[in-house]
This record gives sequence, structure tokens and C-alpha cells, in this order.
Amino acid sequence: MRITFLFFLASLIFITSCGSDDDFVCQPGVPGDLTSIPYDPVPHEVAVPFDFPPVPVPPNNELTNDGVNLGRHLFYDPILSVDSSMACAHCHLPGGGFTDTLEVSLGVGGAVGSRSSMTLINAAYYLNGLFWDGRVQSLEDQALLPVEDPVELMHQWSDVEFLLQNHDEYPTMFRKAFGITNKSEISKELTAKALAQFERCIVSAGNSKYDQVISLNGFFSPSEQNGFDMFFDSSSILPDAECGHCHNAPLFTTNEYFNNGLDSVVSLFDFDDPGLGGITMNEFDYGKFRAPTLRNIEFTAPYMHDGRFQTLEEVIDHYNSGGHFADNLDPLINPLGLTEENKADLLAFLLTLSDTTTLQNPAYQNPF
Amino acid sequence: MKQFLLLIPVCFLLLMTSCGDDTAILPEPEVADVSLTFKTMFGDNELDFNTTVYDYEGMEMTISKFDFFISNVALYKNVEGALDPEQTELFEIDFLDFTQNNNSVTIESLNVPVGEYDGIVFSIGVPSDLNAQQPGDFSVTHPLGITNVGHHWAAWDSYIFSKVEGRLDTSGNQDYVNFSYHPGTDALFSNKIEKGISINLVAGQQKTINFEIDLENIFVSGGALDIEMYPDSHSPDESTGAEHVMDNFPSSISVN
Repeated sequence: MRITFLFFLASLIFITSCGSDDDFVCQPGVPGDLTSIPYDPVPHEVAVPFDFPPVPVPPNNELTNDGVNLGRHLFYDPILSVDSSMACAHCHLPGGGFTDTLEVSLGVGGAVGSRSSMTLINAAYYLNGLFWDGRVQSLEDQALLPVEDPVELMHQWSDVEFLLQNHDEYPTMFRKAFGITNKSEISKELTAKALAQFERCIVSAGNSKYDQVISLNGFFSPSEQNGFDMFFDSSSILPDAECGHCHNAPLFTTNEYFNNGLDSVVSLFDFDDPGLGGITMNEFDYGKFRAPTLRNIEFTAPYMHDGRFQTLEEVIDHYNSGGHFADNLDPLINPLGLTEENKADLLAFLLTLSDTTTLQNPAYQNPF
Repeated sequence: MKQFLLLIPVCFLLLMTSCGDDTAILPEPEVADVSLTFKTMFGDNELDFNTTVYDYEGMEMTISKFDFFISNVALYKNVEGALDPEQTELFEIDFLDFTQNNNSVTIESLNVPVGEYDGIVFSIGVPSDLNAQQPGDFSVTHPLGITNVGHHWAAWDSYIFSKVEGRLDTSGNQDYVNFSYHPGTDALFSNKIEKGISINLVAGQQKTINFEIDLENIFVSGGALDIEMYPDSHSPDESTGAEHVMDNFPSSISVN
């Protein structure tokens, strides 16, 4: 009898010691059980322009068709805001180049933010911090913040989780996206993962005039070519507009942070908005902001972190002036000496970065 | 009963073997753990970005940015009777950003075969075979990948090998001249830079090789660069500053 007992004990140790933690399955009939719903994740492929690398994806949040679909629904669903009045999409409208086209964003109840919304185009490649000040390092972390921000969605994640867990459709979608076994597993982390999956798919279509010319399928007009040459300093005759240093191809951003001379300050701590310095607390980071992509810049007015410039002409005039001096003014911000013709050519080139097929891609539109 | 008695050792045997650590048996280490530490200097002092004002030909200079690509890094052994030394490659290319790393960058955990080496060789910049490619051709985390797209210049069809940026007060009255030197193109890729130093690598032991790069020497060696006259080097027709920087890299690097 003792031997029989030992045998079962040994077998029990054997079975439990080598098992996968993922093998646990809820019993059917348990409240919130989702195991009757199939979980068959299908990898989601993202097409990218020829000069882009594959979309970088973190190993703990691989793209799947169901994950991206869930993220898209959450992105457009006002369930994430405290009064169900706003969704992520309110500040990132496809038609506005995935911005809200306001000087500064408005939150629930008309709460006024302090910064202009940033475009999400090619956000998958923003690997040097997100937001204007680089305060988070991943799309997953970024997606967590607006929900509880009092000037954005003003909600509480615990309440959002409750709403999602008790929704008619989301538990099934979370099951298909992440293989959860019970709706109680729906969490803010999984919600952020789904949003990040969708945002990672918003990639340039590669159909702008610039893309066509670079891939040898089109030609710039003389004015656009002049603008290109000034943008990238590729002509010894035309002035160097210094744009490409911070807005380099193919992303048209280097994802770096600069003081581009917008404000006159006595000391670096005097900037109204500290930007990167407010995060790093490094004196020389005060007044620095992330250089945004210029792809589809035509549609993302107004410009700069506080939306102070209504038109691209104003932006060009600012850079042509050399901006305001500060101890951390970027050395590449200098008076450019552009003529009116030069400025018109530069603008013509900037407009070649427009790509409405990106903005109108059905996969990015509101699913409701 | 006999069958049960037979099953017990079988179960325990399965238990013991199925969960074993596959990495338990390791070969004797034949490598040493090598680190390369790079520190920037301005003359005899460690370089201080933004705040320290350096004297440059009687003018006040501040440095705001310094970085470069280092490539084809290898240790070498002189072999008696052989024309060329025997080389052991450490890595193909890496990017050293001093501005973002508080003046010092360390490349760690290079497993290098043990032995006595006579020095280290390397180049500054991007070798032509890699320089012919684009950021999109590399993984996003590669030193030449899109995360570092600010160091590729499509108009030259080249990577930017180094960035040296800062400001010169030409009169002491805040008459600033901003300077930015961005050398690139295959023509400016440095020849092999060879630094003789005895390096004894012992199995399983850690060894640090220290590099110092003197930025003042980069500016002044062979005659001080006239920054007022040549404040920028962003294109092949503005090559004076870029050539000056690349010409002076070899003599500005010491290894110990």
C-alpha cells in the first residue's frame, strides 16, 4: 500500500513539475468563462514603403489580426472617456493627418490641454520616446496615459476595465486577441496592447509624390526639385534650409529633441513649457521638443508643440529668421537667407510629402 | 506488485531527466570578457558638454554634440615572418554617442579568444560596403538602422560618420557662430587606425581597453580650423571642416 502511495506521489510530482503555466483552463460554467470561444491568432502583416524597415514589434505584443481589430475598435470607442463623449480618435483623426487640427487638444468637457496632438503616422518607428517630451518609451505605455489624464479622457482605468469586462462584445474580442480564458482578465495592460497594435499599423502607404520620385516612378516639378535640394542641402547653388537634419528621410523625422528657437527666454528654466527638460530635469533639455514627421504635414496644421503657427508659410518664416537665441538653441538653427522664391519652392517640396491614400486607408477608419 | 516496484524507478528516472538543466555542462572558457571604454577630452580635461567654455584661439567655445561611428575593430598580434599581423575581429561597427551618454561610452561583453595581443585597429566612419546601404536595409536597432536615421544623408548617398556641433563666441560679446561638422562619403572614411598596446587576455577574466578622444586636437592639429570661415560641413562642396575633422581623428585617439 505504501508503495502504491509512493508511486502516485512520484507521478504527481512528475506531472506537475514539468507542466506549462499556460495550460490552465477555466472550467466551463465558471462566470465569465471564455474558453468556448476559439483562440486562433493569425499574424498580422503590415505593408511598408520600400525604404522602410519592417515594422518593429515587441516580442510580448506580436501583431495579430484580432489584436489589431480590437485595437481599432477601442481607438474609436468613446467607452474610454469618463462620459463616453471622446475616443482616442478625437485627437487623432485620419483626415487631420491623425491629429485633431487644433492648436491644443481639448479633452472631456472642453478641458483645454497644453499641447497640440501629434500625428500617429509611422508611430511604430518612434523608438526614442513618445509625446512631445518623450515621457514614455513604447506605444503600450503611451496608450495608458490619456485615459486618466484630466485634460484628456478623464476616466479611471478600474472603471474602464469594468465596462470592458461587462460589454457585450469586447470580452469575445479580447479572447480572440489575447487568448484570455475569463473576462475578468481584461485589463488596462491588454487594452493598451491592443491600442498599440492598431497604432503600429498606421504606416505611410508610400504613395506620396516624394515616394514616387524616390522610387523612380515620377519627377519633381522644377520648384519641388529646388525645394528638395534646399531641404537636403544637395545643391551648391541654392541655400541650405537645414530641414533634413531633424526631418530626415524616409521618416522625415529623426525622432530627436531640439530647441528650435521658438521662444525668447532669459534662462533655460524660463520656458513656459519645459518639454523634454520636464522629464529629464536636465537644464539643457528645457524647451526641447520631439521633431515630428513631416509626412502629410499639409494636413496636420496648426504646427509646433503648441500649435502657434497656422500655416506652413509661417513655419518656414520662423526657420528663415533663425529663431530666438537660448543657451541650448540647436546649432543648426541659423538665419537661412531664403528668398520668397526659395520659400515657395520649399513649400512645394513639403507638399510632395502628402499621401491621402494613407489617411483614407480603410483599415484605419472608424469601424462603428 | 513487482510491476509497481519496477515503475517507481522508471518514474523517478523520468522526473530527474526531464527537468534537467541543459546548460549545466560547459566547455572550459577559452575567451576573456573584453570591454572598450571611450571617453572624450578637450585637451587635458574631460569634455563637458554645453556648460564649460573652452578657449579656442582666443575665442570662447562650447560643445553641444559629439558622436561617431567606429568600425572594423580588431585586436592584432604581430607574427614573426608574416607581412601582416594576425587579426581577431571584435565587431564590425558601432555608434558612439557621447552627448547622450554623459561623455563616456562603454561597449561591454565582447568575448575574445585568450592570448597576448600587440594592439588594436579600427576605423572611424562607415565602410563602403555598409555605406552603400540605407537605414531601411538594417534592423531598427542596428547602429545604421532607422533609429539612427539622423546619421544618414540621402543627398550624399552616405552615412554621416561623425557629428561635431557647438558654438563659438567670436568677440566675447555673444557674437555667436554656430558650427556643425558632419563628415561623410567614402572618400572621407578613415584609413585603418592602429594603436600598439600590449593586451594580455586571460581565460574567464575581464579586461577593459580605454580610449580617449581629444576633441581639441581634432580642431587644432595641423593648424586650427578657421571656424568662422568654415562653420558648416553638410555637403561635399563644404568639405573643409569635414576633411579637417576626419584627418585629425587618428592623432586624437589614444588607447591604454
